[in-house]
Amino acid sequence: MIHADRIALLRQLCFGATAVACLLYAKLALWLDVPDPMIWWIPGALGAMSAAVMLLAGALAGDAQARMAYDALYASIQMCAGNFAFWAGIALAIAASVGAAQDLFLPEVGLATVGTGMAGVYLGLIAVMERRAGG
Amino acid sequence: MSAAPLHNRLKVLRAERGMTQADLAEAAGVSRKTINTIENRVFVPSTVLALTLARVLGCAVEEIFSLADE
Repeated sequence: MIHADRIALLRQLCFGATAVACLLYAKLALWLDVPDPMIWWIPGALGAMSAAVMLLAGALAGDAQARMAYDALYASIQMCAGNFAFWAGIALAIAASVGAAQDLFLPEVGLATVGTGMAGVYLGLIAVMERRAGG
Repeated sequence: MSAAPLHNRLKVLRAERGMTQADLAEAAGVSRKTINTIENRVFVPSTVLALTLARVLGCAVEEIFSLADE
């Protein structure tokens, strides 16, 4: 049986890896000025894989352990990360719009940066905040 | 009016009952990390969780949690 602490650790690793892939994609898109700086499906595939791993871990752990892993502390962290990511997403969208309007980069590059950047910020914050919560 | 910081005696009460963080977490249906963050005053629990902890420890919620200015 998988313990709740193990699910939380797995979640940190999955979300952390997906966040790194998303942020790397966003950074490379801006740096290279192309909307697909790496194989385009890598961040999405990592996200889908993370979801599958979390679902499988929850199913193997059982209802009680899964509930413990997704308890009040996690809900609080998720809400806090969501709030921050929302405003980060707004800021990214504004920056991308201005950058594209000023011909600093292609509009497609801005779109790719906003899409992957916002996901990266959200998932990365969850992973970092869970890590910082310690325990 | 700003809210006063929340003090808690969770660690003391848990130790008095010979429970580990893992024992208390299991009984309350939360993760060990949640108990740890409450004890270290990093996380303020919801009313439901505070009442659950009081029930598990067999005491009144006011014995565990109190406002700093009380």
